[in-house]
Amino acid sequence: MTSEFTALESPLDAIRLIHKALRSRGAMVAQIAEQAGAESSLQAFRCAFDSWASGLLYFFEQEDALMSPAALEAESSRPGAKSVTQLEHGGLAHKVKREMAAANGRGHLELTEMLEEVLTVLNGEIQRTSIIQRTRQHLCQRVLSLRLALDDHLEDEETFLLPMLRRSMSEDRQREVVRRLLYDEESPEPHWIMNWVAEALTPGERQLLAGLELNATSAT
Amino acid sequence: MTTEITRLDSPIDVMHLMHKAFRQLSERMELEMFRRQEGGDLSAFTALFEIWAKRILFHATAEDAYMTAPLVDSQPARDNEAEHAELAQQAGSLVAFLEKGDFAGLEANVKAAMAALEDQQHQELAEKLHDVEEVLKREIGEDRVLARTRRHLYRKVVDLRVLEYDHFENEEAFVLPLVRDRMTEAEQLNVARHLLIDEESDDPRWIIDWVCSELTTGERMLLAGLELRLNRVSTLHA
Ligand SMILES: [Fe+2]
Ligand SMILES: [Fe+2]
Repeated sequence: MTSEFTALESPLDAIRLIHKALRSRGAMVAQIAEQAGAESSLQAFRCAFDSWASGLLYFFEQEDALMSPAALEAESSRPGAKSVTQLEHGGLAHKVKREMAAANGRGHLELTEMLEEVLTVLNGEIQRTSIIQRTRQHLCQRVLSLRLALDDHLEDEETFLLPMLRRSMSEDRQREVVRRLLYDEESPEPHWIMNWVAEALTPGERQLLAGLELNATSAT
Repeated sequence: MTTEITRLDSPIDVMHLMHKAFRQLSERMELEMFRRQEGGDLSAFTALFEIWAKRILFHATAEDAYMTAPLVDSQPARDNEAEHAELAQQAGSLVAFLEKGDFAGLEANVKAAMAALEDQQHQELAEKLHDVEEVLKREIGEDRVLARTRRHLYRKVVDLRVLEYDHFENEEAFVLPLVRDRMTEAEQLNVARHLLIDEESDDPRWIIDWVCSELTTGERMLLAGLELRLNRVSTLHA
């Protein structure tokens, strides 16, 4: 589960590193939820959860914009790009794979709802500084559900969507997508998300990201 | 949280001992499933699940019949019965999931793919189901599908355990006070007997012996004391 990445076969594989960060931050949140009870640990839980949620929501939004079926269609009209339909020939397997790739956005919606459920438990049941046993149980349960659903989602994305994108995008275009995922151009601090990911990686994996030579301000 | 129970203020408080026994069993069951998340033999888990299911079913049925049925005009009593039904339903769905086998974790993907195919090939849909599953298995990889199924199973076990804990807590907070208020000590002892002794069974003590096995020495003394009182009441009535 937490094996180290030693190479990126294509720039888009950097998304696997992002996934690693999403998973490991989720595991951290779960661990803190298990310990939640006293005032300090509840505060720690809120912090860890907020951070996890911001990262998740940011990536869902960016992926919807950059990696959705609509984005893919637009992709195939770019000069020199290979259309997805050109690459994937008819037949059932093709249809199933396309559908799984297209389901990525729906997955984001479901996961967002699950995030909100955790917030409901946090905001609704706890208007106090310490946590009662029952609330802690519910918190742990919701966090677990979210993590397990996220595992499925990331696995599907890696299996169905990434290969399709890799085949239809040039390396330069892939690098650009990854750059836009890792630098938040809407934020006064565009590096926040790169730092957020990097913190969860090993030094070697950070080197892999650095090796992509993404630049926060590079032109499209 | 396994705090020691040190006294039974009224006979129905034996419920705390019984719930404690259930919590211990549920935690072992969950741990067993946790260990099998990535794969491996499930038989230790299914054995524990069967033990738990048999006991919880007996417990809930006895409570419905002897503890809450006499509490007429009581919303907490009706809620308690509804919670038993929900618990049984959720346990049933876990059994159904187990029965689907190692690839049950693909359910959502299969459904999504089938929905997409529906518009295109209406007739051969049923035959396609198997093929769709095969494509998904091949693409994701059998080992990973198995791990996914185990994750779903683990999640269901946790959901069931949390539902059970919530139910115990509700019963202790809303039903037991009513029982204490509305039933005499003798009536409470009668409820306790039906919860602890299975008169229909060849081995009527199977449930009390199991509860005892989950308790500390001090708690066993409390249970033994209560059993003495049960025996006294039944000798009186005999
Ligand atoms: Fe009970
Ligand atoms: Fe009950």
